[in-house]
Amino acid sequence: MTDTSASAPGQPTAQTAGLASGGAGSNRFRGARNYLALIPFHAYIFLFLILPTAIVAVGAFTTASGQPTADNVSRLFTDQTFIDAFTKSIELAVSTAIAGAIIGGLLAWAVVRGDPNGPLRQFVIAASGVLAQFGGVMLAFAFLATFGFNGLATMFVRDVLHLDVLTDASWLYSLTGLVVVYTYFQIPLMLIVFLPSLDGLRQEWYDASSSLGGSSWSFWRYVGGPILAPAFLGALLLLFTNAFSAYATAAALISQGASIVTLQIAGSLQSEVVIGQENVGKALALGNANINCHIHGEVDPYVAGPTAIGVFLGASIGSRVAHRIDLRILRFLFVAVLLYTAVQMLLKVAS
Amino acid sequence: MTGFDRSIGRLLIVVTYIAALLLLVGVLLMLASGISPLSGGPALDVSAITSDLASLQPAGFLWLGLLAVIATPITRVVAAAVAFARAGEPRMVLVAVAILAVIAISITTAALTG
Repeated sequence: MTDTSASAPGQPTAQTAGLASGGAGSNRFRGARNYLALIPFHAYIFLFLILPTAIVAVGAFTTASGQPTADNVSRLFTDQTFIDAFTKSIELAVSTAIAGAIIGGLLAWAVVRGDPNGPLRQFVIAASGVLAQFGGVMLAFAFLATFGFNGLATMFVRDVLHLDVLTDASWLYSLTGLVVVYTYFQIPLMLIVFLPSLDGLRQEWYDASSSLGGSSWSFWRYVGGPILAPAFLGALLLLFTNAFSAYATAAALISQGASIVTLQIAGSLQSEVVIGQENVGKALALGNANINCHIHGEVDPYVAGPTAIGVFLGASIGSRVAHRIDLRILRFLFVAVLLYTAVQMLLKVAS
Repeated sequence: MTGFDRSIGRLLIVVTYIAALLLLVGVLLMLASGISPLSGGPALDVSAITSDLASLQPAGFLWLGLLAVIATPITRVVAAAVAFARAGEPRMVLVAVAILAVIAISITTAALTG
């Protein structure tokens, strides 16, 4: 480092000035490089968030032949089927979000109060991480296999305990069933999202409140509550959107009668009555075929075989060469492959 | 690592390679026959595997390979139970047996319900 102590303040030597300007230049260059590194991220966001949203938004205001119209949107407010669907979706999302937020929040609080390095905390967090992602068709199948008409619990209660409690399993295929199933993944999601905020609450704040004569209620009213409120409301909103936009679980559970918005959307796209949506219908039919296949727990050898070979080769080769490859190159390679796959998927759906 | 563990490890590697080989043959036969992975394959019929293998049908090779892949971790659990029993750890034997029981129940239920 150049010794500048001999020079007068505010008059940098030529050497340091040169260094300063050179540093600024390289900083600018580094900044530009950082933005370049963000290009894959922006491309990803554009392809998967902005472009689909734009396609949906434009499509909502155009006819099948591409003419501008407001009829599609006005039907949302006039057609009773759509109004009912929105009402049920909102009921479902609100009830599961509130139930998930309250139960998950209390569970998170219980975890925070426990030993920070204890096995219970580790277990609950690990289990929540898994269960929060345990949604979609897998979850629907789990509930069908447990509480369906021929589910394990249903048959056990009926045939072994000889009770009529769970015999009528029709509740599972209704909105009540969806509420129960959705809450199952909302609670662990709430725990994961809310736990860091609760961890941030300091014991010292409670002690300070107490030493100033505050009660437990006044601590929560003036300190804990306001600090946690944004995180809690944010998590609540996340749970709401999570339930509102969920499709696969509802599609797997409710096969007849599209009662919520996501099922209505799928129904509209697949409907043979709507002209000009045949290709989308085909794409969705393929998806449905896969979903049905998974519900029955079947393995398709034509899919599983190539997949297993791919995994085997990938794992065998990867474990040998991964440590020799520069991670940056590997990252770029993965981004390139993912982008290529994404574009292919979009092109397939578009065609 | 005991000799028992080593021999089990070797057995699992061999079974994995055999499974991969069977799957590879199945996939190559699929390619040769022009079968698309999305065309929907036949359900498992254990009695048909031998005839499928004899007539070089891809489904036979794929199903045998998949069954071998599924059997590999189960074999490992059985081996673990034996190893724990030899080492005198009854609690771990119980865990291994419980895992096997869950697998057995699921296979039996699937077989009974078709």
